[in-house]
Amino acid sequence: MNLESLSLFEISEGLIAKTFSSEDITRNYLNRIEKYDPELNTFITMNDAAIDLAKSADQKRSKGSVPQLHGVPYAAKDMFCTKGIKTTAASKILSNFIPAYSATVIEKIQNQGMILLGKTNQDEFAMGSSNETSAFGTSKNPWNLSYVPGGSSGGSAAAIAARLTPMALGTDTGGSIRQPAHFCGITGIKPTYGRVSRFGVVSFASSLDQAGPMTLKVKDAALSLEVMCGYDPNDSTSAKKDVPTWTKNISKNLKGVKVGLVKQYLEKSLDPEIAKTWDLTQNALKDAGAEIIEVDISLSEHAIPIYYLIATSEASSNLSRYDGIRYGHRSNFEDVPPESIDDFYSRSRGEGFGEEVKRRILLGTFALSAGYFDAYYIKACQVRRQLQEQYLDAFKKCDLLLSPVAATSAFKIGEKVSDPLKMFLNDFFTTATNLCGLPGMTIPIRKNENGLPIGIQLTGKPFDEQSLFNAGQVLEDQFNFHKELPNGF
Amino acid sequence: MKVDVDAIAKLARLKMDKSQMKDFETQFEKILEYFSKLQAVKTDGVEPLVTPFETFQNLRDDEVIDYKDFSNEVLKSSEYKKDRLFVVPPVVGGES
Repeated sequence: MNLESLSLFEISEGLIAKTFSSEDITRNYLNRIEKYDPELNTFITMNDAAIDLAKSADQKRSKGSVPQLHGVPYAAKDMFCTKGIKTTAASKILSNFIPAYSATVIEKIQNQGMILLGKTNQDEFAMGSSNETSAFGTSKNPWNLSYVPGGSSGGSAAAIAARLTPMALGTDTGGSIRQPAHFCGITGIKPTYGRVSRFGVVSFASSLDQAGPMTLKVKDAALSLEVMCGYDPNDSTSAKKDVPTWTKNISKNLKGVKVGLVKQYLEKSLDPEIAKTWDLTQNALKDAGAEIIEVDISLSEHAIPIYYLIATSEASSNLSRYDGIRYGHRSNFEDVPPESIDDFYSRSRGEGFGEEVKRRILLGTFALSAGYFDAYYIKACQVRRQLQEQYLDAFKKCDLLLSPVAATSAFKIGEKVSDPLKMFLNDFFTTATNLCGLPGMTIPIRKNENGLPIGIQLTGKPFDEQSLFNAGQVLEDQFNFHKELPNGF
Repeated sequence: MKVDVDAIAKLARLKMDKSQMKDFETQFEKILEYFSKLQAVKTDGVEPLVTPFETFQNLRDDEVIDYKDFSNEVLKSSEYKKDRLFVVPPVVGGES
């Protein structure tokens, strides 16, 4: 039995049937990480306690009933605070940060008895679409090591594709779960804004950030999300909504379901392989009973400027907490004492943040500065409302949207790094989902002629993750991409 | 649109070298030119949307919660501490 290709459900069943123990499966993943990660660079920090935790999970299981995911390993993007375990956000400024508490999401997962393998690589503070902005080196795409895994949750996506973990947590501010899932050929969902608590997740842009699971299969994503979500008094933007049992309600009968295609996306020039994937998935949904219609979202072409103005503005404010006083990198002031308190802050921050983070802090500071605030930040927020209205109008005509995740599949390491605008434009299909607070999901579909994966994106009404899981399951069963393994792994 | 990167870096408390500021200036010009297409959208009277769902800002009751003292754990992440305090170098002068 190939332990590493099992789904979360299969692992859970195997543990119940005593086919293997939590220690067996945890050791198997750790051995694979030791073997493959020096090349892939998907982990920043390992959890030294993983084996001990697995052993005690096995003991606990032998003594009585345990939750469904008890003893099942997982990994977390390094944006999630983990008590006692280094949490860096892939930044030099947090390279020695050990949180005093865990994120609510981590607490919920640990209450199930899941075993944290380690913390995965990402773009610095989740700012990037390629993993190249990490202060700990770029993660590689297991399908071709010269290519990026996408970003910002690139380490999580690459680790799942290479079967180094069965599930990994990601965060998605403008596509950071969905785009790396597309580049690495796995499943990933960004839930509705407010579904999952942001407490203890390193903040990038607070009105856009959402955490979500990345997995091999749709049902695993649904199960993980059931564990992760729910109201949290520690996050005033978390929604007071019941936690649905999506896994039990997945239905592959799409009769009566209307799937929308955004007219403006149809007019866009796409890589032929991406266009073909879009066509194939429309047919698969039609075969399951769905009706395909066109919807008009004229403001969708403005999503990139709205997103980058709002995300950078919020980031410039959120990242002002890194001042070198209580935690995080502090410049060496013993040789050259600070000239002023501003000099103290500026030197510590200047040394601690990488280039992309500085670029975004500065863009955001500019958009919020006197004289430009109305023309940039406020303008972006006004168009954001209009964009949301257009999306909600579209959802009066259809139940979900089907679209590409990105205009191309994975690109080569170094290919776009010198042109920030080109890198921003890569997020064309994913940012509107965050701006409007909608749930969005990537399903892996097929490979292009170069052997790189291509996924497809489903976007739903607020709090209607169920429709995404239903359509996602239809696509998974039709294309079976989770059975494909990158060469050499 | 030319951005005075030096002035913005001061506002953001970011010390940067001159060549990087020069690079950013060129990049920001290009980025803001692309962003300027937003100005063509009519937004008269539209209320800015600053968070996706304004209806559920769930504030908790204003009650005192007795959190346990975890100052030791908070201090663990700092190299610069004495007893239960963070230590900073003497800072004299400056604008702030």
